[in-house]
Amino acid sequence: MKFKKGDIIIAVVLLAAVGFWLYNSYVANNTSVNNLVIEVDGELYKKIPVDHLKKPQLVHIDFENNRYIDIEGNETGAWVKDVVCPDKLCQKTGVISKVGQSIVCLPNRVNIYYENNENEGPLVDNVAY
Amino acid sequence: MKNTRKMVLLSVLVSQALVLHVIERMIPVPIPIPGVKLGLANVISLFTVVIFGWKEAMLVVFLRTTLGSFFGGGISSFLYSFTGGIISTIVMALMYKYFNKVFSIIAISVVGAVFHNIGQIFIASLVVSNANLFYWLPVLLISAVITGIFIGITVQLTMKPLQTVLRIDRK
Repeated sequence: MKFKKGDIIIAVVLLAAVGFWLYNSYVANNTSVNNLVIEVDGELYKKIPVDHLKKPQLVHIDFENNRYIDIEGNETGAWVKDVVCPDKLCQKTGVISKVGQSIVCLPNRVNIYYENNENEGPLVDNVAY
Repeated sequence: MKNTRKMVLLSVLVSQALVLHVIERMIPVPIPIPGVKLGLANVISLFTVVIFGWKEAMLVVFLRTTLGSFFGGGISSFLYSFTGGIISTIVMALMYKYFNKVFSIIAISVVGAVFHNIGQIFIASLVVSNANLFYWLPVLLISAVITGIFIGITVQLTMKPLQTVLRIDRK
């Protein structure tokens, strides 16, 4: 196997990139979770505040061609229960529970993720109380 | 190389890429993140870049993604594999043409795989109009590095035998 000088640069850059992203996703990001957002075709379909998820909720969305998707959410997280689509990747992705993670169904153009309410920041936060 | 001969050789490469694409769909990959796949057809892309050049490689990529979407996957899969494939091919061609002395084939293949995944995430985030898909980039980078190394080794090992089989004389 021939290795050349430039390979080391590539390896270092990739390791740094992966390390940076992993740090961002797992260490630096302990923001509280506020809403479960479901988007279809790039537009907001439903937004469920986390308080409403104390008991499990099921969201059923119908698409054309007899396709549908069932999304379930409870206190621990959200996942795709059932879906009609060619690859079923969204179902296999499993459970998401943190801001940043997302479940995507590309054939049906569905995006499921958590968000926190950053716009509430300056007005009311823990320090004010 | 005469035009007819070149046309026939490129067609053979396209069909090889298609076979690899079909076989790849039969191999289960246990990682359920969208975009994680073996990318076996990129062996052909990289090989075409090395033997012929970027124009021929783009043509091969275009043909194999178009026909590949007919064989399985549908129009939406064409969008993702075409974008990823074109970006990855351009990057690999640039790297090979100008930096061949600096980077080994394996490194070029890894960078190509990385850009392939970046291209796919980019298009996917356009489809859902949301950039949070990039959260999965580190996982995809890791998978790109692993598959890139594997593809690069494959190209390096099959370069001479494939040239002999296809009767291509190195210019």
